[in-house]
Amino acid sequence: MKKTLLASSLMAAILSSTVQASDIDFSGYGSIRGGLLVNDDITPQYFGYDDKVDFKNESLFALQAKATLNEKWNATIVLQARGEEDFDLEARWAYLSYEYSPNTTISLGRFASPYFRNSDTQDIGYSHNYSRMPKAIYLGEEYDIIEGIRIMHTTLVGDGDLTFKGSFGSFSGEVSNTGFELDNIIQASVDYTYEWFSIFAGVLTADASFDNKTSFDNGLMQSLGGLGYSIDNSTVYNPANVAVYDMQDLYADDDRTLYLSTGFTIDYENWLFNAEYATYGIEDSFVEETQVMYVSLGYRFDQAVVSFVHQDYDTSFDYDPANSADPYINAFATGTADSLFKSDAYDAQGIHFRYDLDQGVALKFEYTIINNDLADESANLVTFGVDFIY
Amino acid sequence: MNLFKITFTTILLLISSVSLAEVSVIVNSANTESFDEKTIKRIYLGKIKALANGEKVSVLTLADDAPETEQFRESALNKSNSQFKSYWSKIAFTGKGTPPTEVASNAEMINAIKSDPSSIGFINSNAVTGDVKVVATF
Repeated sequence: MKKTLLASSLMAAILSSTVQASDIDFSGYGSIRGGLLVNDDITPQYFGYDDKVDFKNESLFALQAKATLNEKWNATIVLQARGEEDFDLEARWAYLSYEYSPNTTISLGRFASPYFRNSDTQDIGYSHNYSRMPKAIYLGEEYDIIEGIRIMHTTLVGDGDLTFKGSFGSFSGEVSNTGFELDNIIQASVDYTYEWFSIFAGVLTADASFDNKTSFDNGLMQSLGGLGYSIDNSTVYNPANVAVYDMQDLYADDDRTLYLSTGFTIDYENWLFNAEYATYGIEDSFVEETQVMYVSLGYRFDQAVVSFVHQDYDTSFDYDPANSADPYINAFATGTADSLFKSDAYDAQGIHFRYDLDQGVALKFEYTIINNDLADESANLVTFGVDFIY
Repeated sequence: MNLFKITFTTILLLISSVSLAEVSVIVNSANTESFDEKTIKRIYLGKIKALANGEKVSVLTLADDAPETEQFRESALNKSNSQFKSYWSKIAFTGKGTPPTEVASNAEMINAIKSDPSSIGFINSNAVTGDVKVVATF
């Protein structure tokens, strides 16, 4: 509701009669992408494909309308329809910008949340040389949106440009049909770009709350209820009616989450090198830390770019919440952690092609081998598609 | 065979003379600022948004498929058309800037530059008139 209101009021602002039609710029981007697993011992999480070809999951269309209200102010809305959401139209970006000076812009509204370096451009397939951004970092989560304020400042340092970006805001919505909230999102990043290289560092913190109490409670009752365990007001009682566990240790309720990321790129004499590393976690939860990275080496030919990508996704987690004196409870807590996170770790190696077919149209192809660390099994993924801007 | 050779050579010459045409970067004749190659590059990549006098610079380009555009992007910006468009897509769709405004022809470019003291553009050097000031050639 909130987002609909925000989006429609911005739409109204953009289309209001005081703005001449000629002051509105329309542009957009999109992707038609298909993919499938061609050899699958496993169906890897997060990659979004199985052994049947799928053209919907990662296809998307976006239209940007930018209205220049005057010298200092403009209003922008990006309407995006994603295959994965049945092409339902969503206001991915909707913001009002004030240009304080040519080097400083303040924006208010809804943005893609900059968890990582390319989070705000990960949907624009045309903007990068991969078939899709390495999944180890760019999961494309539903919550990578922020509603709040953003400030951007650029300044010349030496012969290069330093860009500072800071955001403050919140997100509330549903993730996998579960209520999810991020409050007090504070984000800051710096990016330094010189002719042929650039480096980046970013930090984001937020208070995360999942509405997952019921599912944890139900899980416990399903596994241990038959033995006579019960839950009352998040305290677990054993069959002798002795309090043995506080379910709060499993819930994520206003727990602080911290994202740190860094990266650098080199674009020299048609050689392209790109690396990103990030670490994140929610305090007081099972997942102590998720560490993700990718490195890629590419070469630019006349109309084509070939890149080799290595990516790695790793979680380190402890069993701190399994702190009960009751072994059954601990088994449940440990089992929950294992089933949620243990199978996730993987590394993957792939080759990506980009071929610039025409003005604003690029063909993409990817072949990636994904190795699950725990099961020591692998899957081979093929994706292909067309990215365009207009 | 001979005819084929001649035709082929002529076509080759034509193509190379088109792609080797010189491009002039032009500003309003009232503009007294100096524009070195670095500044021009930074303006076209959206890194400089205002002239030294504080006026917001309006950046103009010819169409993507004009030979002058390709020549300018390759020599002045060191970017192919697709690299240029990829670069700008990251900026334009994330609220960081507005890509250069397209004008349809050399003549329209001259008119636009003539009427806006804080504008910058480029045209085929053969099309330059006394109405505008050339600050660099590529």
